[in-house]
Amino acid sequence: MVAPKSVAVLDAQLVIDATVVYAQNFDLLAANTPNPDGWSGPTGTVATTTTATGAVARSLPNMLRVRTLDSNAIVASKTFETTPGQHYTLRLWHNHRGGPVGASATFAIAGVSVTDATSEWTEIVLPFVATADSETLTVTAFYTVLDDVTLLLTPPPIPLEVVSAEVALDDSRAPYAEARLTVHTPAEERLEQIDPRDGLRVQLDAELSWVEPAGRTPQARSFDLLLHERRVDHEAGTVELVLESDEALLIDGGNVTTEVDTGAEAHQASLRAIVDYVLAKHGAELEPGTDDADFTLTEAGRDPDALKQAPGVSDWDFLDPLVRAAGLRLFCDEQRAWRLVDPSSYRVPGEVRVSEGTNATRGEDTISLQATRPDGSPVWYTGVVVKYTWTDAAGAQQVAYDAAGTPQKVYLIEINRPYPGPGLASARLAQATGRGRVQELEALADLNATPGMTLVSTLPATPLQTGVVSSTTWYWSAEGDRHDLMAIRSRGLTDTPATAWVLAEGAWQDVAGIAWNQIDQEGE
Amino acid sequence: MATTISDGTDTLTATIMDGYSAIRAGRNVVRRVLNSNVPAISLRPAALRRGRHRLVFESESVAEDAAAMLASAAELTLADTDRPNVGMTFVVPEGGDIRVELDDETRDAWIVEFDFQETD
Repeated sequence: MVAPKSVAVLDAQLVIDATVVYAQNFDLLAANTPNPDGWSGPTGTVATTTTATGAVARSLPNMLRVRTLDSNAIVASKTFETTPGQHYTLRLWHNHRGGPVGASATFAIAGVSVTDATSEWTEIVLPFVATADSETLTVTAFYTVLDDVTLLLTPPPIPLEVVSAEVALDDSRAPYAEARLTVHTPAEERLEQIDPRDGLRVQLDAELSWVEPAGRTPQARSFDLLLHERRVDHEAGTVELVLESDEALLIDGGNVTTEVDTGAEAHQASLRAIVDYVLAKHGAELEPGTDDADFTLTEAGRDPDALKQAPGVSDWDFLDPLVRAAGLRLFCDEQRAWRLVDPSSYRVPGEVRVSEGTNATRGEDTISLQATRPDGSPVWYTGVVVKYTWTDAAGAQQVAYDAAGTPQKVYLIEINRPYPGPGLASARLAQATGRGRVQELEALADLNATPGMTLVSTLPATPLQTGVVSSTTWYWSAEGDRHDLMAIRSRGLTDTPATAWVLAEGAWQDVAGIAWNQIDQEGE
Repeated sequence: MATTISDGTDTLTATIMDGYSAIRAGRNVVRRVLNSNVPAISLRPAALRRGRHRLVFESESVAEDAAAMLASAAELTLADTDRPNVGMTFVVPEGGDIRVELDDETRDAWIVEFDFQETD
């Protein structure tokens, strides 16, 4: 057997948000203003605002019309203040309106130009580096209209030199994605830009290819995460960064007013609409899906204040009990896609196989009644009691309980919010199902491994296990030996006979030993 | 025949290169797979050279200048006309020494010995 040989690379860069330097949609200027806001042309040309109508309209009411009076190519221009050396992007919408056959419009600034001849609204994007205190856009055309011009200051991303990194996806916690990066300390002016308070994002690009076995398809995966913590170690000359997926925005942010936010009550018929109402505050929305729940406030057993977000309550603390009471899970993946799913049925297509003799490098198999998760909650329990305490509108203390399960091992959850109705206890109980046995596996890295995929593992002297991937953590390092590896944590493990139908590769008819109609859905 | 060290502004010439040893640390990761005697390899290039240089200078003043240049916070260049492959850009790494010594035999030549880490 030939040793597999792989090459794993992780690139990281700090993305700095663009800022708008100039924006003009010509709408606040009176129609037929000549040379509006510094947009002008040489003698014999006309640059005027014109009322946008019909098919020619882009954003009402006005746009800029640039045309020549004698049908010769003309130049209109606009000068912007710039800072030499800075990176900018000029965006504008343009609609080429005519001239001789083959005529087109050309936009040029700071040595960058784009020519366009389409007679419909087209966005022109001109990225450039300023070389002087001002740069001038020139428009060469016969007759063209412009609208919605923006000049953005777009600093290029700052590359980070990764010393070591671990990136984890975990379906049992929020945030779902978390990365810890150690990078070389950059130069001082760049170090000052790495500030989590600015809401910066870090883009991680992982690539994995194989020299042996030859022909194996290379893998790539990108992570777009929020910078949440930065710690400079001046002695070691490194910076540690903690990055998180977008749940962190909801966990950090909340109702910072003196008024109770009752906006969610308008959406009480649909949990998806309530989630979208909260996500909209962060410029996000749910991916399409069907898992939903009804939170109609007049329903028996539900506190009428259940959809009120009191001042100081974070968006996550407001949403999470609702989502859990409905037995659902809300998460944002590493590509900023928000999903509301039913954890009992949510699966990611694909399979992760961890096997002795091929890719398993370490394995631990634990059955424990006392193990706890990092947040202090037990890993396994048979009964759940949820205690809601809150102060009602009249100022009186209220308590309500929700319970499910049997008393062998009890887990008490205390929550400070109005009672949203029963459901949370049984949802938490369902989470513990199949969690009593946990395998912690380490294997050669596979960038496709994602929580929710089917896990098939074979370890020495252990029956073949099938379950679901609960978390994946990848490791990279420039010097250490924890590199090009991944740790997998499982849940819902079941012993599975090796002849089980669920494990069949190829056609199902090929499975020997058991007729297909003798196998139940669990493959046993 | 000349061995020189330079910080980009000044260049100092040594009489002779009296010693050179360099090692490169391997960095391929050998991952042991459970129940298999065949390891899985993750390929990474080896680290750049690090090791020890020993240069002989004919006067104390040049030797002291060399030691001062080595002690500065700068990337230096070493070149040798006879042994071009020894040439490198380097720094004296943390934990490395710069040692100035009067030659015991001649009581005339000065020896500067230092640790280096190649930089690119």
